[in-house]
Amino acid sequence: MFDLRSHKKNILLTILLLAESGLLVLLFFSMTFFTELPFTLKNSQTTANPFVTLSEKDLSKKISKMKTQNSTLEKQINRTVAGQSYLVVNVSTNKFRLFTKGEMVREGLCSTGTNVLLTTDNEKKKWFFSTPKGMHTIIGKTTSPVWIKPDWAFVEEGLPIPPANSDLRYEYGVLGDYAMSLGHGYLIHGTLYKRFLGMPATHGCIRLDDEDLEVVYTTMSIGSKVFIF
Amino acid sequence: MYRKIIILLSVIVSLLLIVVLSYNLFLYAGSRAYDFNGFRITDKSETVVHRKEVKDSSIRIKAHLLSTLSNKNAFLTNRAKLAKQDSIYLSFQIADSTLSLEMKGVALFTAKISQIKMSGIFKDIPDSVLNEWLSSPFTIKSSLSSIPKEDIVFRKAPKDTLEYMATATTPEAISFDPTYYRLSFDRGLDLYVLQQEEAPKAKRLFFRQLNLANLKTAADSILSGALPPFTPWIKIELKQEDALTIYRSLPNFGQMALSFK
Repeated sequence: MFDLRSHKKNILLTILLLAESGLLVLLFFSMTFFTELPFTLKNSQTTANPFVTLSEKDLSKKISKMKTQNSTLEKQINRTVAGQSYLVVNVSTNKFRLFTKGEMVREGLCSTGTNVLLTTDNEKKKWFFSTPKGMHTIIGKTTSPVWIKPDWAFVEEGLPIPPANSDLRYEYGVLGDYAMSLGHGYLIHGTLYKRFLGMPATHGCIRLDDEDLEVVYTTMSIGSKVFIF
Repeated sequence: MYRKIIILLSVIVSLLLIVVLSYNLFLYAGSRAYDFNGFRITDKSETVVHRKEVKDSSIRIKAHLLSTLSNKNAFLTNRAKLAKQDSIYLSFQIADSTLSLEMKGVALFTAKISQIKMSGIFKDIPDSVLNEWLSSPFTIKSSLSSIPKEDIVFRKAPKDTLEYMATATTPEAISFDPTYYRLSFDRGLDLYVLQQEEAPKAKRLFFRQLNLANLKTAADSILSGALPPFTPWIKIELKQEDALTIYRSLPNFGQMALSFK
């Protein structure tokens, strides 16, 4: 026989359980609310200015001193490249920007390191093809550069490594019309693989399009800074 | 039988409710007791000094200008200190909604922030305490991220040209993974950088990871008899490409100059 009172109790208990569960979920997701609650409750007046207790004369003196200090600091900060040309290379997006006297004069696509870690079968030799981040200086400039292939260029193609002065190491016309050296074998140069500009495609060098390369080559001199990030 | 099950479940949920409520109350107490450079939210002394009315409007204007200049001075001093070093650092101007990567004083990259949210504590702190807190650069002590710091591709050298031909790959266009990260700085500051593009699955996963880490820290504190630690936070939203560029460019223990004005 159907017991109406028992059935009603069951419904009530179920509703109570659901309400409790709802409250539990609500409390679980309100941790940030409880963390921030003390600051929400406080109707603060404390952000008022600490300098209002000074006299007008003292305030004027302090303002003048602070302006001079700030101007000196700004000059100090801008000292590294003041008035010079510099190149900024973003390896995450493979884009570059060229600056002269603080103004951007050119921007475009480039190719930087693939971040490939190449290891030989016995893991005795390793090469990491990344473009080094940080501030670099142009230490050399050449026209019609020749690529002297290092060991990894043969290893990655499964070829035997030739002797140091072998003719096999010299490759002509693959670096474009100009090259600028950043030291440790890293160059800014042109490329035959223009379709890869804007992609990570190099062994650590920075490849530019022919027109961009010419502008960068003529704008930058030995000693100019290259920032890679 | 049905009633027994319901009663049992009800008891379990009630117990869980008590645990979660107590945990939340501990969080509340932890924030309330937070010591921000010697200033507590419960302090009254600073409020009394600054409530003093200044009727002369020219003094008020000059005092405001001096406060702004003083904040700028702290920011410039920090940037000048960081510019002497040989690392990439962050320059964060909240008033301008910009986050920049700088090196040697040169702005390498500037990201426009689409949204900024911050902990309510920053509204309560007196200017003098805040300026002192900002007077030296912040240093990253740890980070939690949805992307790796460096995307390294491991490759074995081919045995011969035949194997090279078979395995050679061509470069691919850059694909940006959903980018969410938290940079935890020394002197108590968490900076959350979230991509503005929608990626609900990755975002949920990141925040689940984050909540677990926070829960563990808070539980450890409570179990050792202390209140859960509170850390002031700033959350910003950037374009995915910008968020990724900043994360990948910063050194592991990178530094930041911060300005509110």
